[in-house]
Amino acid sequence: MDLKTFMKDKGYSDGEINSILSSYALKSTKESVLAVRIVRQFELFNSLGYTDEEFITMSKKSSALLNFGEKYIVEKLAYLKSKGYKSNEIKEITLDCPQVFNLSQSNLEKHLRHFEEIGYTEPQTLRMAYKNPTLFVLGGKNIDEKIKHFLEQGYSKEDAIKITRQSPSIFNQKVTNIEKTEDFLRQMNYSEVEVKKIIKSMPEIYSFSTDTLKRKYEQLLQFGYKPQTASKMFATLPQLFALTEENIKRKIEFMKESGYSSTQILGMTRVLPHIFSYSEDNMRDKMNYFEDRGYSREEVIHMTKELPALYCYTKDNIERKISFLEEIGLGQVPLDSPKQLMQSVDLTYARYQYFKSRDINIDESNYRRLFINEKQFQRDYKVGKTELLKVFNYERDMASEGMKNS
Amino acid sequence: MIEMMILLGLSNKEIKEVTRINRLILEEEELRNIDILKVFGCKDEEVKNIIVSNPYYLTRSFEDIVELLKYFINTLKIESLNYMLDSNPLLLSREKEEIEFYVNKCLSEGLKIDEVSNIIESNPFVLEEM
Repeated sequence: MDLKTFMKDKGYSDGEINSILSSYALKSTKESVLAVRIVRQFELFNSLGYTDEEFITMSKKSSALLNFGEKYIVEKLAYLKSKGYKSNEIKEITLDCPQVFNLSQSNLEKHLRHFEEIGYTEPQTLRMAYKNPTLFVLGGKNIDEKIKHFLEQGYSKEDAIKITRQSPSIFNQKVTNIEKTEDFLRQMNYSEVEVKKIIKSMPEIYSFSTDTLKRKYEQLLQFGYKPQTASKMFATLPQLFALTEENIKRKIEFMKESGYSSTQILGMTRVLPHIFSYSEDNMRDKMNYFEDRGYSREEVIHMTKELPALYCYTKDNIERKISFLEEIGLGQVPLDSPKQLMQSVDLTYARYQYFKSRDINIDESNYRRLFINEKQFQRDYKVGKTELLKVFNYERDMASEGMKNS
Repeated sequence: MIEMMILLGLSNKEIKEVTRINRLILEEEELRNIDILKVFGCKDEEVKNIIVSNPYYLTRSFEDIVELLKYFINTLKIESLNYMLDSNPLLLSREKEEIEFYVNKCLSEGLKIDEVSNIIESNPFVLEEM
């Protein structure tokens, strides 16, 4: 069978065959020699765990792959293994960037070392190269250019390293594209502090086109947020840019099905856009927790509407606060004034014990004394929380209480 | 990082949710962001609450965190910082300059620094509610 027929049978198109055989890497090799090599190469890569389809894809990206000797290929794979990559990771790296085979080991090493010279640690470099294997072949100039850009924008070297480490595809972008994203954020009227916050919190933002970013902002407006609110939400939680319209829509639907009105949803997510990142399971769990504790769905809605952070606190955290309030006869506080659940149980306990030590009874009529701000508390009672927390220590007292009971 | 989360008492479900929200946590080897909370007085259960509430905190720049915490302590003179962070773990995603901007705005309206500090401490969600 001649070479072209063999390649066609394997799945290459006529155009691909012509393009591969006339490529710089292969055109000087005699067709008869090449025919033997290519057949052998398929066998070799099959034996290394690649399917025909995978090898074809790789060879289309890098035709030189069809011409390398077995020893050379095996050595390159051994090099990647020596760097600590697992077999499946090596396969992913080479599938994504078969050009890795084109470079000598010393060149690959040089490219990786360049990152370490900038300040990345070796594990960070290897992780980045796994996420973006083109880093194995990108020249130092390209890398330096991106780092320089961030330094010129006022980021520290640590920031530049962190940003690119979290989103190494930045190295594949042109500086002009990077600037386009930054300019877009400025045009959205974000201050320089906010632009930097958004970029540091979500470096993946560079992988979105400005049209996509604009669409994401407009989607929030369509959901009913005012322009200023939508902007603020992205500044508070830049990771919102990564959520799809479907994600947000589903969360809003879920909350509506759970009993929240549209106005309540807008109000809660305005203050706490993080709700969009929590899973429905997580929110359902929290609702079930409150309902298992005896609150009705309407009460759960009332409490979480007043203090949306109830969806972010751990159940243990909320449980400690509610149990203690119940223990001292103030079980109605979470419903009367859910915001009081913000306050640490340690402080509530210390203040309660303080009043108790002064024979002041705390009940439904005066419980707000437990929650007044520190300045007012100091003014009214001439004692601050630091002293109170030392004397009335919730954890210590609970532990000794537990010991007594056991 | 996963081992540390287990040590802090996060359940499997919580770890799954936290890493789903911020998958970069799986790549984070440094534990400095957790250690610094302990240095500033947070107990394990408070650290746990912070991580579960704000999974993005774990991959935030350490230098920015230190700057923010120092601002709370040195400029705002917040006592028992752990209670404020436990009340609003999302504060840890704020830039120091964002807090500073709010503080300066209050100062320009005639409030004194200890009054502003008191506002933030008694309602750590004040910036979110603005």
